[in-house]
Amino acid sequence: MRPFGPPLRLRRPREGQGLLNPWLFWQYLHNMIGSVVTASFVMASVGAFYLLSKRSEEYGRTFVRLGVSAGMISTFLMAFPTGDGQGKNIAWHQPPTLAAMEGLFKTEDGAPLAIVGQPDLEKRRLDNPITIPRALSFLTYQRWGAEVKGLNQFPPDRLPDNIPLLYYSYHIMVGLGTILIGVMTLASLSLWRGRLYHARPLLWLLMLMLPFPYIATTAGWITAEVGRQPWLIYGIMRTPQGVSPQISAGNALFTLMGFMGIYTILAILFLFLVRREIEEGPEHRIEARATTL
Amino acid sequence: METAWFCLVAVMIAVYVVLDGFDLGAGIVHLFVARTDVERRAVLGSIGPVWDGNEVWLLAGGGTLYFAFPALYASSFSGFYLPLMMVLWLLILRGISIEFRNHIQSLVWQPLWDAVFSGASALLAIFFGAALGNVVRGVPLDRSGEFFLPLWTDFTAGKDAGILDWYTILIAVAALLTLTVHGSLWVALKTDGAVEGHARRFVKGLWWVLLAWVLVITLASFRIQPHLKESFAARPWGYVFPLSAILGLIGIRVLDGRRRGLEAFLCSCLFILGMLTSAAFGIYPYVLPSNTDPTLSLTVLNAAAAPYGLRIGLLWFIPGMFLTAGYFIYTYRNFSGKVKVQEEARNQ
Repeated sequence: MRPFGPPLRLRRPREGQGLLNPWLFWQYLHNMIGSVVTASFVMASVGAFYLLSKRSEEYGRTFVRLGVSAGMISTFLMAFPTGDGQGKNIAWHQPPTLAAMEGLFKTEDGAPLAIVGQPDLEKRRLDNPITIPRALSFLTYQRWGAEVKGLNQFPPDRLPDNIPLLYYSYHIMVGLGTILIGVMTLASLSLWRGRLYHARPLLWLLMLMLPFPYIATTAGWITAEVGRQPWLIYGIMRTPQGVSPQISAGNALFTLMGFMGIYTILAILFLFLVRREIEEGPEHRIEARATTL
Repeated sequence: METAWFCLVAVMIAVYVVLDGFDLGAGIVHLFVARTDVERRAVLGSIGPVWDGNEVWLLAGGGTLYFAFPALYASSFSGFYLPLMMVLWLLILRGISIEFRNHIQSLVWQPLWDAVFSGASALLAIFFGAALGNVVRGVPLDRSGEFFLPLWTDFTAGKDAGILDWYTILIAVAALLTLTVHGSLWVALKTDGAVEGHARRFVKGLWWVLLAWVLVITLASFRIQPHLKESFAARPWGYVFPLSAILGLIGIRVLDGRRRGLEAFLCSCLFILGMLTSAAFGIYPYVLPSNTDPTLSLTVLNAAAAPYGLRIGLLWFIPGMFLTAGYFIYTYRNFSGKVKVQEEARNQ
């Protein structure tokens, strides 16, 4: 009947289990605070642009102050406790995903944390590694010598099917997240000492950081979605079991292209309108409103 | 329990059509009843605070469908894959045209988005009508409860029909007419001056067309889906649904003629509710009939979720609906009365 095996038999959940889903709390907060991080950087970046170009400086200072204050708090919360909580959830509930994310090919006591490196699936090792010894064990289990399961521990059909993509998206997210914390810390210190509005190198840095929170959140999303493969519902329903058997590849390609077209138009319009808003400056809006009142 | 959920899903979809229907309808007539920029702002202002809330009923209806009748959801969302994706695109275009329009004051920018808004609204009405037509007509379900329909084939409404055939096109046009009248009544209710006058003239002119069309689709539906006749014969109390639709339709004419804007609009709501509940009553216990072999049809029983889930769901549904109703009353009370065109102009 169904091309991908017999229909699924789903276990009946315990009362209220849906609301007590262990992922819900940390993942929800991690997501939501991620939006605050992006908003903070956009705010600070636009403010820095106004200060650097010596126009609308009053607003520029407000934007930078607000963006940096909110950014300091939110970037920190991204790492701890929400990112940390999310990472432990993965270690506990999706151990193959953790091994793939971290590029850990062999189970180890006192596993190292890979900062840089390229996973080589044929030779089953990380090329050009720069690692912090034992740090992965500590971050995951709070013990320097704890055992962390590697990719060799799991049957191939339970491993994410695109390990390099997962490894890179996770490392881009965490790497950029660390950089974002660093930038916000520098800017906060400078703001606190009353120097930020005139510290041109730092304002340049804030302005140029604009794309990176977008990249980090997108990479985080890819990590979550690629990480749970090959499952639609983890451990219960495999991705191929969710395919609509009657929809042909041609029809799927048609709608994919349609979405790409619509999103391209949206992206162009977004950039066009946002550039226009920034160019016209914050006073423009407020004057327009005042004259029609 | 399955029947209770059938009624809930039918009511949620009907409420969606009534609520989003008037802002879709306002979009359809937007280009014609409002000529100047200030007038168009008045039309947009009349739906501005509520249109996105109304669209959530579509999501809520889909979510309820997924929850209560997962087999129906799986089958119809992959079977109607192409039109559903297009509905998504149209919803995106419609949403951005409302949001983008007032960012730039220009004789090119604003008319462009007004046209996109109007066109997307009209196409959405047509798509939803065609969807309803397909559900009444039936689709070629296979043994595992799956199907896939191309957009059109030979327009015969036979076994190889696509999503558009002569019957579903009739229903699609009926939906377009109904929502145009519905939206015009809303615009007339919420605006004054020239816009109100144009909208009332629209209602007057279209009403006779709508009446004729309703007669045609009623006859066509009974011909295309013999199960409708069996349903009404088996449970004659069901005639209350078509009767309320007729009452609503007559009410629109009588009350709009007497300039009772609110009552006429409510009659239009009654008309839409009556038509949709008639269709739902008529196809029950099917939720998606098969047009090739009746035994392969999806019914409330073989498409429903497990009884445990349905029971728990009902417990959560009731407080959720109270919250929704409370918020609904709050919003509509806050934005009651006619839109002040001048006041609207400053919120650019």
